[in-house]
Amino acid sequence: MSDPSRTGQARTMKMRGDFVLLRADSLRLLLPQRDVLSTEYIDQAPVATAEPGVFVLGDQPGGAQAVLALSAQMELLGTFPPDRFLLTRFTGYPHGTALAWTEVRVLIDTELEFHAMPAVVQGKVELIDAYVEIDRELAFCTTAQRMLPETLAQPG
Amino acid sequence: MQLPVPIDEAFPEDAGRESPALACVLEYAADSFIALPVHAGVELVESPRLVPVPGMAHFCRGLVAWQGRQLPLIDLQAYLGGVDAPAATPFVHVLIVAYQVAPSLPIDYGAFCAPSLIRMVEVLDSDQCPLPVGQARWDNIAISCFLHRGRAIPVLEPSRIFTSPVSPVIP
Repeated sequence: MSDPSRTGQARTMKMRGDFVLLRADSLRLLLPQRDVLSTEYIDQAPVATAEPGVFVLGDQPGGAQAVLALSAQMELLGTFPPDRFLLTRFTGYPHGTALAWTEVRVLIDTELEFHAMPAVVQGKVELIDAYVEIDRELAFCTTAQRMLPETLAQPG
Repeated sequence: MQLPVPIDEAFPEDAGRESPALACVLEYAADSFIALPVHAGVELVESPRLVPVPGMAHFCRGLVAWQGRQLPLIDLQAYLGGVDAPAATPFVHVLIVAYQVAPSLPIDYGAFCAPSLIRMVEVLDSDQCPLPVGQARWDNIAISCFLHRGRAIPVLEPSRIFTSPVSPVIP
């Protein structure tokens, strides 16, 4: 997904492509499908670690899988919510930390209208490029490369 | 909801021959006021739908839906006070404001938290005064200032706020 807020004059543009809509609580994120490496069910209770906000799934092939759950503001949750039963891994982070979601929807060959996020909204880290409206609700556009380093850098 | 705009009656009838201009005055925090050019204050909206944006600036409260658009909602108390600003004043209304970055560009819109209602004030050229000296860097966002009931009230240019990525008090 190109970045509508940086592509020049247009602040609203329609784009067709393959996307993934990730939902956790009221947080709705839209990522390019190529950023999402895999999705699977969480079939066991994640176990809290000594590091606040970091949980593990113990019997994953190759060792324990670290799992994070995000709040609506993309902050790490200290308690793993029971409604997060889907796990995604991201391209570029194949064996790294995975994120847990309530819903994962794949949108294939879908045209969406992207609205650049107003400059004044952006915090010090530009997590969100733009927003789209899907099913009459807003979804915020980001990429794994933008989202994961910021998430992993959060103090536990 | 149209702006509830009582005309301030502090203006004496014999104030002189100057013809007054109207300014839209907002008390954005307790005993803290800003003004907007009268054409910039578009509408006062009660309890609009607000969607917080992950990672948004500390002075931003999210996006508010208005006439098919999503507008950035700015808390002026936090914007002007920086990261150490006191807890935001609760607000029920938001003030929709219009601005134009350049004459050839279309009008755009944003929103300010409005803890109180708006007051229209008549202003004379002779009311003009220097910008207040304080923690807020008014120079970056104000186009003028006038004296009203003993207070210096900066007149903001909304485009300088809504097109800037950071508040003036953030280095």
